[in-house]
Amino acid sequence: MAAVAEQTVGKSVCPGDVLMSLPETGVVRIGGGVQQEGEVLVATKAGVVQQAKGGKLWVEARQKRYIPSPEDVVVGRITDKHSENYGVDVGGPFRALLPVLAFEGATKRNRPSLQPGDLVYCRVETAHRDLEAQLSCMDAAGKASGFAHLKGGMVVEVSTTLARSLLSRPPAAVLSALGRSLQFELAVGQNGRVWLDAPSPATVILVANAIQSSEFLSAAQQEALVAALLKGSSAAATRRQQQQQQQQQQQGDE
Amino acid sequence: MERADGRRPGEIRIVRCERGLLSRADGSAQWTQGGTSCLASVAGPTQAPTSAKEDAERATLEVVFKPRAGLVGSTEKQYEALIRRSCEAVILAALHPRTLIQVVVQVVSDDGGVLACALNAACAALVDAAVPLRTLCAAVSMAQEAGPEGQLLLDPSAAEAAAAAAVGTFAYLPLLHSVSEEVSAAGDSISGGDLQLLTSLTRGRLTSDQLLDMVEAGRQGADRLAAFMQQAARQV
Repeated sequence: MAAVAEQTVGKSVCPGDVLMSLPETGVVRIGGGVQQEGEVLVATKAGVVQQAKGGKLWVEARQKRYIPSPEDVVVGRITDKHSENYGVDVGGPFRALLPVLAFEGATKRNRPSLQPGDLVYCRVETAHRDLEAQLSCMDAAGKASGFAHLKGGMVVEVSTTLARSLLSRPPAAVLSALGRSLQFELAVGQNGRVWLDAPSPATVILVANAIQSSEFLSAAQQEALVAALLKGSSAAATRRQQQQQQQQQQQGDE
Repeated sequence: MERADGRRPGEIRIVRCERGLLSRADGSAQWTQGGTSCLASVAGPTQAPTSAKEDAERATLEVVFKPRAGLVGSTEKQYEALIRRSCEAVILAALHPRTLIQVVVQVVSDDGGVLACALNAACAALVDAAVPLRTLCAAVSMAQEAGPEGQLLLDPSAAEAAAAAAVGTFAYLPLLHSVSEEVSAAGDSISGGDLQLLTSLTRGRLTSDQLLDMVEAGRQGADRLAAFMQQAARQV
């Protein structure tokens, strides 16, 4: 199975393209954008064929509408509040549910208080096409591990493909280039929402611009983009000034 | 024999497809064939606004056809129904139950074959929105010239369609196309090895032989159009 799949991985396909024929024995795992049609697997979306480490085959399509899938991390906006659940807009066709007890250390007496309009960084626990998606602000072990209420900051919308590349490891070139000279906080959701926060609004805007324009650029182009943005920005200038002042202070101390 | 614009009878006008033009729609595409151009946008899958449009088993498809000028009449309503039924045949609607997928087709300019152009634009927009599709769908328009010596014209302009004895629009489903050579044999066996006729709409007088010739000539044109559409869709 692996041999046939290797030929198609990384190729651009369109709906109706046959990806591979099913092997005589063994298990093939398929994700979004792939369907079984008789003896073969067929693409149902236009995009690039990808294979996960576990062997799961899927078509990475550039889309704006998010379809929830288990174990995705998402940035959601609270839309309504009930006794047991929060209703959360994650950008999918339907609202998702975030139980009030799905936070680390939450009990019936001690529960987080979120208001409609608040942002949360959470994980999709269950997603089924016939049910509302269930979210959780804990990992499988019950720890917070980065999932939380996002206070302040700003949200920018990007395509799901860009969100996935920002989450990849090693980090995307645009993020490491920005991280070298600026201080900011970032939470990327696979639903195409990126939450940003930084000490100064100028930095937030610079980072948002850099991320949004980085989608179709190579690593080297992304570095050049960040360098060009930093050159013309006041945020970087003030940071350089601060660094110079610190250096001068250190020299003075010595 | 050459046509008024220098084309051969079985030649399509210059085709152009642009995707992702509209920033607020989930998917959009402009499809241009010579002087005819349609802009399609797709919103969805979204929550159906009323329960009347909701189906517990599958996604509902809604098509709005907007003419270049003037009011929506019975022709437009017929086009809407035809585009809806053709798209329903290719969309894997069971994957998104209780949702609504809305397709809006705006005619930008009309120089004949507007329905075929609208169908192609709708299909390209569905691809752009990453709505799961069974396969693509390619549509062509045909005209049968008047008189005993009349020829079959592929993709007629407005003047050619007006002078013709009969005109028709045909949509076809392309074959399952194999990415790697190795599995192509299996791919051919499922599709039956030919473009499937999906939709047909004719206006005017035709003998049954002429109709069959038209379907066959349309198939050849749609084959080339589908190849272009697949290539356009594969470009990320």
